[in-house]
Amino acid sequence: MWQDIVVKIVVCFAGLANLFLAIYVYKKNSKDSINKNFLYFGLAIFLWCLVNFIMLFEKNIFWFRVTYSIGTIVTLTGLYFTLALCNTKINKWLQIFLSLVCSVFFVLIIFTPLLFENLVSFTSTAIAPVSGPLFFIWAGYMVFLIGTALSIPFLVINKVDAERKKQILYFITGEAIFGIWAILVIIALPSLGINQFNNLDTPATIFVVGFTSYAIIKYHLMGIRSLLFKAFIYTLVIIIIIALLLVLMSVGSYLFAHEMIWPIYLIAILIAIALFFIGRLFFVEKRDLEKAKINLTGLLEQSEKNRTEIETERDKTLTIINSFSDGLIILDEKDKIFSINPEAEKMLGLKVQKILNKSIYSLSDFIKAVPIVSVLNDGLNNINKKEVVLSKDIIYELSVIPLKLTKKDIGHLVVLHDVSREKIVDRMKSEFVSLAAHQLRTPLSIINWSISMLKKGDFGKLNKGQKEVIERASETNESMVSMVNNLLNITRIEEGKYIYETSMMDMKELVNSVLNNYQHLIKNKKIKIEYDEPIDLPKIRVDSEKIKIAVQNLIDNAIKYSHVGGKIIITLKNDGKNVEFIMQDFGIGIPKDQSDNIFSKFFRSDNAKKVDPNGTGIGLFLTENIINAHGGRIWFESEEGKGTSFHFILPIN
Amino acid sequence: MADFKNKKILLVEDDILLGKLMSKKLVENKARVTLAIDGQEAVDKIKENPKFDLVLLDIMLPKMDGFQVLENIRADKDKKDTVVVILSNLGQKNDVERGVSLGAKKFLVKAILSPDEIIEEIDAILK
Repeated sequence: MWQDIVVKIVVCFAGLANLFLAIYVYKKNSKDSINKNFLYFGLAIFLWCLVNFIMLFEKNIFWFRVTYSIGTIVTLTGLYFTLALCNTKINKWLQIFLSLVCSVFFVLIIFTPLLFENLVSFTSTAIAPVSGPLFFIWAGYMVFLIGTALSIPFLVINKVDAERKKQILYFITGEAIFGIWAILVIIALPSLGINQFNNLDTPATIFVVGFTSYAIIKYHLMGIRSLLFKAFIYTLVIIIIIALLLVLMSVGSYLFAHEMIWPIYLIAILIAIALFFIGRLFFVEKRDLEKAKINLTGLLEQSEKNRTEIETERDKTLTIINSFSDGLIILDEKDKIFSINPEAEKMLGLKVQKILNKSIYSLSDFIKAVPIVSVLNDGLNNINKKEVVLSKDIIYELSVIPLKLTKKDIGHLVVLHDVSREKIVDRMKSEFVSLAAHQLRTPLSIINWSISMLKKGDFGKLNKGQKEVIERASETNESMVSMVNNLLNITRIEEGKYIYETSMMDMKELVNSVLNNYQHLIKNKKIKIEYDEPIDLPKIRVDSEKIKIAVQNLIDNAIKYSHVGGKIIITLKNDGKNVEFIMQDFGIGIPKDQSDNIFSKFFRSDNAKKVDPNGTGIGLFLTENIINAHGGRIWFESEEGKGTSFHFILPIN
Repeated sequence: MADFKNKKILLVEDDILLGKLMSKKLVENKARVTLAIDGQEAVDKIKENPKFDLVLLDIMLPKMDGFQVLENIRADKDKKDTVVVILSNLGQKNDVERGVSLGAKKFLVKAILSPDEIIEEIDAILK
C-alpha cells in the first residue's frame, strides 16, 4: 500500500536526518553539553526510526517491544537535551534515578510481557500491542518526562538572552508537537483501546528535526552558522513538509476509509493544546516586550540621572578650569581648540567663538598670540616652561602637556603661566647687580692702577717688606676684580648679552699664561704642576677672554681645593675633532650626592664651603656656560676625599 | 717702553687719582698730556687746541658724558677725525657698540687692564 511506502520513506528520512544532524552538531563543538546531549538525543531517535523501519517489515512482538523501549530512551535523552538547552541542571541523584528507571523499563519492555503482552491485529497492516499490568506505570513515567521537558522552558524563558530564547522557542515547538503526538498515539489512544495509529509515532520526529533545524539556521542553535549546512537544512525542511503532507493524506484516506472521524477531533484538540502551549511561549515573549519596555524606561531614567551627574561633574571641572589663574587651552587629538579658559582669553586677547574647533595655529589671527603660535609651530612636543616674550613687560611661560587616557592620546593641554612679575623682579635684580658691579669697578680700578704702578716701581724702588705687602694687596685686588667681573658676567649671561669676540687661539699659550698668573699661589701651597704640552695642537676659534675665564676658574678651584704639597695634572689632547682640556687634582673631591648641582649658579658643596667660606659659587656656572656657548662640553669625575678631574672639549672647527 | 714723543694726548678722567696715575704713565712715555676732568671741559679743550693725536675718553663723566663728547667731536668739522680711545669701566655690549659706532678706535676697560697694558694698547694704535 502506498501509505505504507510513504510511512517507510518518512521514517527512513527522519532517522537519517536525525543521525546527520546529531553527528554534525556534535562535531561542530563536542565540548558543549548542549551539543553532546543533542548527539545522544539524535542517536536515540535514529535508532528508534531504524527499529520502526525494520518493524515495517518484521511485524512481531519483539520489534514492537524494542521500539517502545528505545522510545523511552528517546524521551529521556530529549529531556536531558532540553535541560541543557535551558541551562538548567537537575539533581544528580534524580538524574541517576530517572536513568535507572529508564534502564529498568528498557529491560522489562523487551524481555517481559509486563508492559506489552501481545500483539493484536486490526487490519492487514494495522497491528498494535496489548498493554500489560505495568503499562500505566510506564505511561506515567513517560508523561512525567515529556511534561518536565515541556514545562522547563517556561521556567527559564525570561532568564536567558534573546537569541537563546528564540532557539528554545523553536526547539520546544517541535518537541511539543512531537511529544503530544507521541503521547496521543502510543499512550492516550491505546489506553482508550484504540491501537490503530501507534505506528505513526515515529514520523512525528520530523517535527523535532524540522524545528531544530530552523532554530539552527535562523538563531544559530548550538553555534552553527555554516552556509552549506543551511542549504542542507532548507532542502530537508522542504522534503519534510512534502513528506508530512503525504502522511496526513495517508492518515486522512485511512480514517475516511474506515469512517473513523472522531479521532480527527482528538488530534485537532491535541494540536490545539500544543498550539496553546506554544502560544503561551510567544505570549511570554510579548510579555517580555512589555517588561523590556518598562526596563527600558527605567534605563532611560537611570541614564538621565547619570547624565545629570556627569553634567554636574563636567560643570565642576569647567569651573575649576575657568577659575584657574593660568591660561589654559585644551586641544583635541587633531590639535583643534576644544576649550579655552577666560584667563587664556584675556592673556592672548582671544575671541573664543571665532576659534573654537579651529586649529591651534589659527590663533595667529590674534596679534597677541602670534609669539605663542611661533613657538608652537616647532611642534607640540617638548615644550616645557618655555619663555615667550609678548612685550617688554609681558612674559609668559608656555608648557604643552600631552593628555593621555589609558595610553591613548586625546589631545594636548596648553598652559600659559604669567611670569612677567618674576621676570621684572629678576631683571631689576640683575640691573642692580650690574650697577653695583660697575660702581665697584671704579674704586677697584684705582686700587689696581695704584698697586700695579707701585709694584712696577713707578713711585720709587720698594724694599723687600713693602714689595711683599704690595704683592699681597695686588693678589687680593685681582681676585676682587675677577669676582666683580664674574658677577657682571652672570648678569650678562642672563641678559643674553654675553659677548663672544672670537679669534684664533692657542690653548697651550692660554694655559701657560693662566698658570703664570697663579705662580705665586702655586708656590705658596707647594703644589706640583704636571703639564704635558702636546706637540700638535691646532689653534681653535674661540672667545679667548672667556675661555681664559673658564680655564682660570678650573685652575683656581684645583689649587684652592688641593691639599698643601698636592699635585695637579694638566693635559691637553687633540682627537682631530676636538681639543680636550683635562685637569686632575687630588684634593677634597666632590660629594656624590651634590655632584648634580656642581654647575648650578651660587652652588657650593659642603666640603668646599669648609675649605673656603668666601667663594661665590659662580665659577663653574660661568665655566659651563662659556664652554657650552662655544659648542663644547664640560664634565667631571670625582670621588670625595680623593680628588676631581674636570674635562672640557672645544670643537676645532 | 713706548715712545709718544711729540704726541699730544687729551686725557679725560674725572677721578683725580686715576687721572694723575695715567698722565704720569703717559708723560713717562714722553707724551704731551692735557687733562680734562669733565665732559664740558673736554669739549672746550678740543675746541681751543689744535687737533690732538689721541683722546683718552672716560664715559661716566660729570656735566656731559663721554658719548656726548664723542658726538661733539664728530660734529666738529676740523676735529672730526681725531683718534679717540674709550677708557671706561663700562664694558657691556651696548656700551661698546655705541662707542664704536661713534667712531672710537678702541674700547678699554679700566678695571681689567693695568696702566702698562693700556700704554701698550695706545702705542699699538698710535703706530
